[in-house]
Amino acid sequence: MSKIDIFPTSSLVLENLMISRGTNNIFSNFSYTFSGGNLYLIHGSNGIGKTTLLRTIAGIIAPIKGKILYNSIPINRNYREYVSKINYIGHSNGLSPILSVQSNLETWNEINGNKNYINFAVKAFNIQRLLSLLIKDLSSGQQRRVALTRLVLCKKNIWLLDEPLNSIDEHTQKIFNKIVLEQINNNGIIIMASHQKFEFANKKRISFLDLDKH
Amino acid sequence: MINSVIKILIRDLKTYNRSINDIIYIAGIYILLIILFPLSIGTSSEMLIIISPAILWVCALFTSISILDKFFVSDINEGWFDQLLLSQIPLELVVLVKALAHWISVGLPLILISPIVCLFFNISMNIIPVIIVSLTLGTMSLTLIGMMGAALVLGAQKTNSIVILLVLPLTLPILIFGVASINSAVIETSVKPHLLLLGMCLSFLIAFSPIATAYALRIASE
Repeated sequence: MSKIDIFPTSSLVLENLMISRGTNNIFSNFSYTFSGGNLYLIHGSNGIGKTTLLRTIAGIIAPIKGKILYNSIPINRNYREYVSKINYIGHSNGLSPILSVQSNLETWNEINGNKNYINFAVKAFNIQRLLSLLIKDLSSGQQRRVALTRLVLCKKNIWLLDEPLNSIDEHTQKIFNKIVLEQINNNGIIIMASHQKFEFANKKRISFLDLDKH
Repeated sequence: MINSVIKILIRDLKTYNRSINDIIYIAGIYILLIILFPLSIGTSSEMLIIISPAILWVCALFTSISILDKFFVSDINEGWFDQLLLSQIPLELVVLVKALAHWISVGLPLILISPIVCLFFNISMNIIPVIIVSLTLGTMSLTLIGMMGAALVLGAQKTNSIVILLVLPLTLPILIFGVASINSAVIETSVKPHLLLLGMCLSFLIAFSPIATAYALRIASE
């Protein structure tokens, strides 16, 4: 892993959010504070709103009421600046099935400000062998692994991860744990929804957010 | 920024032309639709020459809106669209690039085969440049109108039938000016006013369509 700059201290505050999907009110008055250098694990039963919450934080879903503040500035005041700090990995991988791994990575690299971390990300996730293959020819675990390279490929302060370890093998999980630890040490924020048990070395830096109780 | 835009264009072109089948489908449908007319009206008929501009245009219109459902669906399903929303490139620019890619894969084949198609109608060779210019301006406008429609119906079921109903009325001005330009070339009057009107429609759509499309897409991705 290369040296990367440590992110400046940052905070992400959700203030009295009201979010609904269709006629279904998912959150009516939800507040929470995320701060730099911590991993937040979101738990909750199916349909409780884990994905909705992550997409709201990413600014893709607009809350009906309430505010999201990044370093005490509402995110929609300078949305473009805010999203440049965000790395979102959703249920779908964001990969085009008929393009090769290499060309998918290149496109990502290009739309994320061309930081040229491709080789580095490829090495970190050990996918050299897959580079010339088409995404549709990969297994779902391999596809997910390629999707996770984006974490290294585009260095961002805030990671929003929606079930990142779906169909991921043990080896990749170890790599993932390593980069998560690195991100936390670099003062980044990780917000992760996961069903799997997640082993994390630094117990002090981990918080659990149980949506069933909110 | 420019590099990113070129990269997105190349990606879109590759994904649109995922198989050569699509281009063959477009060209095939266009030629087949057009052949139906000389076959049913008869090749020697004077009437055929009079209505040929209308046939060329109606078939081009129908062919290009029959595949509008492909515009955004796979991008959204693959999660690519979320990545674009969170990128540094304005969504308006992204959709304009998408429209260009769509036009290159759908409109351009139509234009390239239109000189061949003219043979069926006994249209004189010196009208072909007018046909090409008018189809170029027209199909570009049709793509931009279609893109708005495709973005608006995202999330609805049976999108393709709704999008055709939605888009068809909006394309009427393009059809009218397009047919009029070829007609005036056939009867040897000035084609310039019609082509200018087509150009006006296109420049309005270039400015308006990406904004409307991006707005609809933001709502759809919620």
